[in-house]
Amino acid sequence: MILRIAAKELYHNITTPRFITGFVLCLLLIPFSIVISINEYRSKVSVYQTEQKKADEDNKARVYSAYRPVIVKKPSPLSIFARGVSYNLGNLVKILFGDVPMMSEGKAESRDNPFLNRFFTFDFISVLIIIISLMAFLFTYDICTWERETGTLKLMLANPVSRASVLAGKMLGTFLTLLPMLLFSYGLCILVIMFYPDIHFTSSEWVRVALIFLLSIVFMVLFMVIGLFVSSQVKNSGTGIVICLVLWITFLFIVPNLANYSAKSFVKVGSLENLKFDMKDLEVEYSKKREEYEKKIPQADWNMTWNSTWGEDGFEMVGGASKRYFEKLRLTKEISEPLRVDYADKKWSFRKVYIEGLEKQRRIAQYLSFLSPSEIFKESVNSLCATNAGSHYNFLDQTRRYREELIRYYKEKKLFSSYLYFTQEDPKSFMTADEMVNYLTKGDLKTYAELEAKNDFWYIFKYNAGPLPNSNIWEWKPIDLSQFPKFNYQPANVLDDIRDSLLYIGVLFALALALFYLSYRAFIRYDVR
Amino acid sequence: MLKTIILTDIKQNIQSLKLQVTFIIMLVVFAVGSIAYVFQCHDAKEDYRSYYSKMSDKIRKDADVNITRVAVERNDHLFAPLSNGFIEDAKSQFIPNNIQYNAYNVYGYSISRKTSNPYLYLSNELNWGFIFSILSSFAILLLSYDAISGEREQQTLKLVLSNPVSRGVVLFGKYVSIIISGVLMVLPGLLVSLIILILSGTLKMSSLLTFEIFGFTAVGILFIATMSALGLFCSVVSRSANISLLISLTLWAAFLIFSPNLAVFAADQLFKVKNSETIQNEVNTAMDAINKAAPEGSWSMMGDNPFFPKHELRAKNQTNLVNAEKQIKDEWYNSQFIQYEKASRFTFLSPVSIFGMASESITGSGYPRFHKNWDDMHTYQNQFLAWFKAIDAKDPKSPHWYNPQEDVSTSKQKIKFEELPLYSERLMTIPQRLTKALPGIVLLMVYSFLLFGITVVMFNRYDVR
Repeated sequence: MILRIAAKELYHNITTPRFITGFVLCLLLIPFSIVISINEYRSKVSVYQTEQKKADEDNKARVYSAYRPVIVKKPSPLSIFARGVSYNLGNLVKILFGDVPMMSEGKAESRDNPFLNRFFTFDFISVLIIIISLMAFLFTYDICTWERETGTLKLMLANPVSRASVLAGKMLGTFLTLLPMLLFSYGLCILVIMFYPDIHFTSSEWVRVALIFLLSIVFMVLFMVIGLFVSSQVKNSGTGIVICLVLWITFLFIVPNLANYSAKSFVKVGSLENLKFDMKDLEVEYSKKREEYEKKIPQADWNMTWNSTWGEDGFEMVGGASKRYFEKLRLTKEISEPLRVDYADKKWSFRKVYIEGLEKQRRIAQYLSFLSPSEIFKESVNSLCATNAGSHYNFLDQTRRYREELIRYYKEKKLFSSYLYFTQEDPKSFMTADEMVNYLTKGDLKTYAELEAKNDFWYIFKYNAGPLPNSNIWEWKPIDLSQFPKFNYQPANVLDDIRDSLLYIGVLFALALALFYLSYRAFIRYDVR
Repeated sequence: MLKTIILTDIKQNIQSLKLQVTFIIMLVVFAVGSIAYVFQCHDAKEDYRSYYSKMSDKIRKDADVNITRVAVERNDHLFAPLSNGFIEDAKSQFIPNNIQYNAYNVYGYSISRKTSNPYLYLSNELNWGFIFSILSSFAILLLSYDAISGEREQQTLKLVLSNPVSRGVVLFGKYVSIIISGVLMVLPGLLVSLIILILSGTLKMSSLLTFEIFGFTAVGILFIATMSALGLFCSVVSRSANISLLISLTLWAAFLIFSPNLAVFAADQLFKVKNSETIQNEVNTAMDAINKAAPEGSWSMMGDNPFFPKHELRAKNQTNLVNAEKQIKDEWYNSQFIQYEKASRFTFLSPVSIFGMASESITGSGYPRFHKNWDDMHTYQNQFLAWFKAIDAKDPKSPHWYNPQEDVSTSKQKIKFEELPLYSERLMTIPQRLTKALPGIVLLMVYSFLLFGITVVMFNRYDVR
């Protein structure tokens, strides 16, 4: 009997214009949003490729102080389905000893033309939520009322059939009406993706897509049940539709914006600019300490270097200097680099406060947004697509752990106090200042004192004896880094994510069951006249 | 007769459930949004003040060193939070709000992430603009979709038309009554919001703010009129209220989703601009070429002696480098402006977007504000440079070799911070705002007239049975 009622309901639904409207909406909105998401994804991939290429080049180091690996996060193709926060964030983390990675950076965090950020485009899942929830409401708002209004409900209930099975049959019929729409949406989406041969999913990503589809069914059923509940509580269809539509706009448009805006307003986060100024103070303090230490250690006899270059985070590369110069540099680095790491921890204590503020704000926004079932669904999809904040935290945590591992390696192998930290010259062949003068003047001058007496620095160049042996830093070969710890991004596996989204599915499902029960109770007492 | 129609309809609307429910929701959103704004505004102002004082300290330190340092240091101008953020923010957080400059050039723009939390999903601010464009447009459609088809279904339309009154008058009466009901729906919320803002001391009335509030409200009412015409149109397209509802909901969703998506799609496909990597490569190539062609000694420097002869070469080389970068980048920046402007024209299919653009101009925020600052900054930079050169010219201890990047070969005089010409933002004037908003306002009017005209024609042929 349930099946017959379902079939009747299905037939009734299919013949109404709303059925066609649903498909038209899907056809109008879904391919378009997918194409845009694909364009976004491809541009992120091209950014990723350029940055990865640059990183590979940068990660070659001639001395240990140059090795500050750059980590580039690969965009996930699942971001086509749900963008989440992945496009607000950069994809690049540079491992520095003087800074604990706080946030990722890089130009992935904006559209290439930043003014186009003005347009908030809708991704697949947002469009799907809008269409499916609207359709679910439009098919259920009058599920109890229309047959009463047309007078056929009495006739139906005159048959030997329980009210429970009438209700179940109607819901089944509506479910079968809406399911093709959902299938059609996913079909369209996958069809469009198929047109782009450069986008492919791994099997685990396909599993995730399948899970998202299953989740969408739960979501659809939930909205159907909400509609049913509304319908069971009201006397006429007109009231039903108004309440349903008001709920719809509240869940989809008011609650998410309200949640974010309230969180932004009521939960205070320090400002990034002010943080930068604090960082600068600490950096100045660090430089002062280092300079003080440098004054205390034995000074170099001759400050001439044949070739040298330096840069951020303690990078220094020196070729062709005196033995005591090298020794001084080695002693400096031995202390200054661990000190740099300590200062990084000091800076981190400030930065941590800042990012904890961000996290608190996000968490509150999320909890508030869970007033809306569609937001619960969206969050679970984002989590399955690995585009939510949690998945990004996971990535950042891994880079932080990797940084510690790398520093530990440097400390264990005593690389900070090695000559290779800044030069590839062999310590055994280091020259004293006298030997250098001797070499550069082809034996004309014997000691550095003699050169100093000349009071003319350019004197040594008259002999054209340079460069000093193995002093051309640009000719040095990249050092072998194969023993160094490597960064391996371990994305959360499907099972972990399922465990996370299981909670969300559970909540959605429980909500659906509870409402269905309440509607059933109401329908039993429903006045069919 | 017209008056009777209008009055009965308004009364009917006010008694209807849909108006009452949406009215309450809007009132709540207005109130919550305003309270949240009060908090946010306070924090944002505080943050900006502390940022600004730190920024000034930096410039003051440079001034204590010497005047050249002030001229060559690249500084950021971060846009201050506007006092009218409760009206419309025009996604200001997401578009460039920071301009980098020194006396020699305006280098570029960036998005400062000062106040936005990247871990939050993109969302709208709960300001008046949001309430008008999303909530009230939805409420109006809900109010008007069954104005004709609903009355036909209830068989009351026949009775109305049996009076000695033309169809045009009936329709016009309905149109006016919907607009008035719509205005009645939002006005109380607007007043509540204003009261909250004034009582909390956030709002300091000025003539500009009064213009903004009234200007926005006027454009808002025009928008309500457009949406009412759209709703009426939906209600005469079909004989059944259900279908009218479907059509209006579809249109609403399409306006909301379709138009931003279309703009980005058009920008990507039709108005392609070079991407930043290409530009960076071009800049690097140009710079390499200049450095290679530079005469020997262009990179020599002697810290304490400005008159060191090679400094002239160095200054020339640095000038060439800055000019080369400027040429390539300025062209690229312009192409980005054009791309944005052209793409945003595609959103003009949707009245919701037109309303957004018009109110953005009225409040002088968003892109128009950025663009004005960008132009003003160029004017300021020229004046700054002229000022610096005038002082430098009087200094006998300077060789006057202008180096745009380094403090090497120009005046080493100290300067008082108070004497510096600092950049300060000049907000858009009322005539400027009106000119910018005019196309949007005209378009909204055209939309309303067209839609209402078509509706009249269709209603004249409407089968009222």
